[in-house]
Amino acid sequence: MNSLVQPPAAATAAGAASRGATGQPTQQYLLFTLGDETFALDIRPVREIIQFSALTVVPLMPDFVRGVINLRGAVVPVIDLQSRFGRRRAEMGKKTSIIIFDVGPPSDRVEMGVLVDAVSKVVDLGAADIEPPPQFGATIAREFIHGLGKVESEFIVILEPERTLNIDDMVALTERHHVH
Amino acid sequence: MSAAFDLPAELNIYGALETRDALLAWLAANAGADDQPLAVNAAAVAEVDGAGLQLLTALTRLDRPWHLVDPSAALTQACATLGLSQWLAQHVVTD
Amino acid sequence: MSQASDADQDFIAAAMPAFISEAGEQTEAIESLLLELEEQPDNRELLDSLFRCAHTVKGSAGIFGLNKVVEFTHHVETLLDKCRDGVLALTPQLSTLLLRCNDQIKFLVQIANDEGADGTSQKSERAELVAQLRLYTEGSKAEVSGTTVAAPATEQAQDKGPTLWRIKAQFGAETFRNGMDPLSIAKYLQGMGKVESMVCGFDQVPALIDLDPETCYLGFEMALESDASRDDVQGAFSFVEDDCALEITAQESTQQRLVRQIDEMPATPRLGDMLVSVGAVSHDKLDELLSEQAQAAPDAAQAKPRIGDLLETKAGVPPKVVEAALNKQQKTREASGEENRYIRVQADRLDAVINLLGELVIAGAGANLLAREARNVALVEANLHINALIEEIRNGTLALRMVPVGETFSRFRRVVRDTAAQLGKEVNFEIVGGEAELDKSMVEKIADPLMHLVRNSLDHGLEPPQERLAAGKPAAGKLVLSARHETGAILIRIEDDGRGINRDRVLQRAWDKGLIEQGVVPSDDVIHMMIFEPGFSTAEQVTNLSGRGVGMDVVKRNIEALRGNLKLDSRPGQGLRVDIRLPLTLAIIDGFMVGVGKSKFVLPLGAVVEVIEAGGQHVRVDAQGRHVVELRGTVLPVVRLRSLYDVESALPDRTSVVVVQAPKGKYGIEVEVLHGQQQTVIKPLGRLFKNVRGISGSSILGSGEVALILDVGSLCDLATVSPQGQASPSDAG
Repeated sequence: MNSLVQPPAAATAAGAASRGATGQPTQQYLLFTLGDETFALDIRPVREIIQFSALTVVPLMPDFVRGVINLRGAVVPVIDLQSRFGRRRAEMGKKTSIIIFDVGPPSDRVEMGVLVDAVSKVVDLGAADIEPPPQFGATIAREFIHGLGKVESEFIVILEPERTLNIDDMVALTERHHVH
Repeated sequence: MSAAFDLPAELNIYGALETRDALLAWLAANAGADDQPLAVNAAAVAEVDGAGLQLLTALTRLDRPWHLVDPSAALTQACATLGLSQWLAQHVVTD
Repeated sequence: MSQASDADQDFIAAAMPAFISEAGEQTEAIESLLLELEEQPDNRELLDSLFRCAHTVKGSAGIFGLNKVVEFTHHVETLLDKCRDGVLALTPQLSTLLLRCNDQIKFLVQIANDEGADGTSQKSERAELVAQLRLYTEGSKAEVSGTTVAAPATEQAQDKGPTLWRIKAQFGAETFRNGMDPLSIAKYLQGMGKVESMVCGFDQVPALIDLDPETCYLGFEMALESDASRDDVQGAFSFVEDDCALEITAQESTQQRLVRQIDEMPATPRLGDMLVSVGAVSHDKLDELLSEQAQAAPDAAQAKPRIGDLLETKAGVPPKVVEAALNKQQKTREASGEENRYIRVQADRLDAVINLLGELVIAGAGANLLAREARNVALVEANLHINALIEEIRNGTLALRMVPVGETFSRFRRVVRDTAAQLGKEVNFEIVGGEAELDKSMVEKIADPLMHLVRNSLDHGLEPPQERLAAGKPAAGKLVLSARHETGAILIRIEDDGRGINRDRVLQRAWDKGLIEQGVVPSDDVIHMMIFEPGFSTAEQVTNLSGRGVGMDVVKRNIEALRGNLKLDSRPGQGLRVDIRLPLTLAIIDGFMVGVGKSKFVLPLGAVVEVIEAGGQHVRVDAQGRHVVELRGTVLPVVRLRSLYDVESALPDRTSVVVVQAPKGKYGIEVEVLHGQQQTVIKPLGRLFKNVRGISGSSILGSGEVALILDVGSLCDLATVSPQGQASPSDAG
């Protein structure tokens, strides 16, 4: 498991806020693709990005839990976001990657991996560049969206990690899944 | 005249009253020589009890100098037993 | 109290947790000792230990300036001192009082840092306890017209040599007239021992002229060193007591002082040193004797003179003092032996080491693989040697976290005792298998559920004595708490010989509460388990001990949180047996690895009974559609891992069946590849996977792959149910 990209050194809490062209403080966001859509996530909880390789399937789990991987001795679950968003599960491609996140409340932080089709780049966005989530028309459930970020005249969905990767939610879904 | 009072052989409860009176009489008789210490001779004491010792200790309150002379073994012993050795030593003068 | 400097404050803050922890151990010990002493009230050693514990708590509390603890414990210590001297007998009432006092000490230690936590109810409880303690230690004061006796009437001769009696007497006026004489009394006392001092008090004697020679004005003060008892001494005054002002106090004789000082010394193992430091012998004299001892020609016939003997014979040290020093020496040797056996370790440091050890196991397995691939024989052997050493270290390290369950079980004695008393029931409480060891954290988590189950037995299970006798049972109920190791698990059993579960009442209750459909009568096992349902309680009067059934469902949940299971075996009128099975999740397990499709699974080696290679061909489907295999005449259910886990990949030609032993019985697991024995590190799967059935964890193999560890117990549950169809998410999203 090689680490493709270490988040840029500036991706610490202190460094993440820098000044954009407008002189306002900006945050860094990681862009990645799922199918033919591009999404973004706040880079601060990102630990690392690795290439997809051996994944151990855990049986009797819902599709969005693809399995677990060995991350330097720790067993980390891997979530398939496509599945999580209620779509067909992701196919493995050449550029399939796993983004490792820190999730959960401060007292109970765990690592979680997110399966994505490809990782593209890191952008700086200021508060002015972000619009609130749309009332309707979005391709995924509203609760998962933090906002819409303007990147090069396009709007990219910025995901809300607290809800997208909420363990309790996922456990509840798993329980329901077991009740056949 | 160095008067000496001779304590009787039996210095106990039975003769305590008598001995006390005799002492008083002797003291009165020798009232004149105030500066002269009165000598109480204890050589003859053979039997002594608490009452007898008590009598002797009353002499402490005499307002004139006095001392014991020649305490017998019996008296010394009895004083030791009753815790009057120090008192005895204070008041004995060896001739 | 103390104006501690900043440095002191820091020290105190840093050391406080250690104090609280150690004081906690002392109070636990006190409680155990008190309960032991109830069986053997005269055991001198137990009494000594008891005193020492209280003394230790008081001492340490003093260092931390915890005045409340010091003050209160002092009263307890005073009373314990009298107990160990034989002055006070340890009656059941006294024992109960001391247990209450110990609780108070525990409370005071806990609130050490928190002044505000001491409420009025605690304060008044404390005051009451002190008053009661004092009643014992100071006895009642007998006022008989001027006579004062300054200690309880019963006082036995102390075993420390003669006492120094201080006798103060002022004789009454009628003494002579009654035929008595202070002189003869003094003489009589003289005969009882050695008069250290004697002074006659004659200041009440008036001048000769006023003196009534037949009236007694005398008194005296005597210090008498004597083996006599207080009664004996007082006896000398028996005829004058009525109008004599008498005071008899016991004081330490020199010998007693020396003995006491030796006893209170901190550990000083050398006999001579001890005696020098209490002043029983001079330093020079000791040197002299030591050189004499050294020079004593070692004869074949004669042993070297012992320093103790020399001190007695040549330095005039009283034999009792030498004896005390020898005893102290012995005790010190024992104590330091005991103390040196244990080292206090911080739990998280130990955990860090265990984690590193886990990494080491994985690294070792990885190195092993590489060595084999390199086909370097010497390297392979070297690796095997390293792995063997790692295994040894691993066994030793894991054992560090294990504590005997007996320690926790013993705490229950007190609860059982008090609860039984409260309920008016008689109980014989037995602990069996306390040496069985469990991981420390697990022991802590199991304590509360166990306590609750024990209380339940006492409350609902065991009948009151009359009822038992009427039923032909002994009046005292039997309650046994036992622990036993099984493969990969520990079995804790609570068994009583009470009335068992009232099945009919439980069933009715279940119907009433809608837990079971009206009219449906499930098996007895199912009915019995109803008592663990929330809000369930059939007790006519809900005692405040076991609660309104709130307790039992929490018990079940706690045990399940530890991945354990509960089983009940109730025999009406005869008793109830509760079995709790807890898996021993050691961080590293010896596993048997199997493969299905591209996945690898690990079975705990201890659960594997045998392997039927190519056994797949013998697997058939029975009438209910379940897979089974016949093994030497027995039909065993079979779990087909492949279909159960919906593994996608080509079906191999031959499959094997691994026969495993689960608590419920043997069954087979059909697998495709047998990989053999493997030592692996258990990695928890995390909260996300807490509901996965059949899997107890994951394991990282030497190759870096993640293998899932099969949970033999719950996997078999899946075998008895018809296999599921395609496992597709029904409501996911």
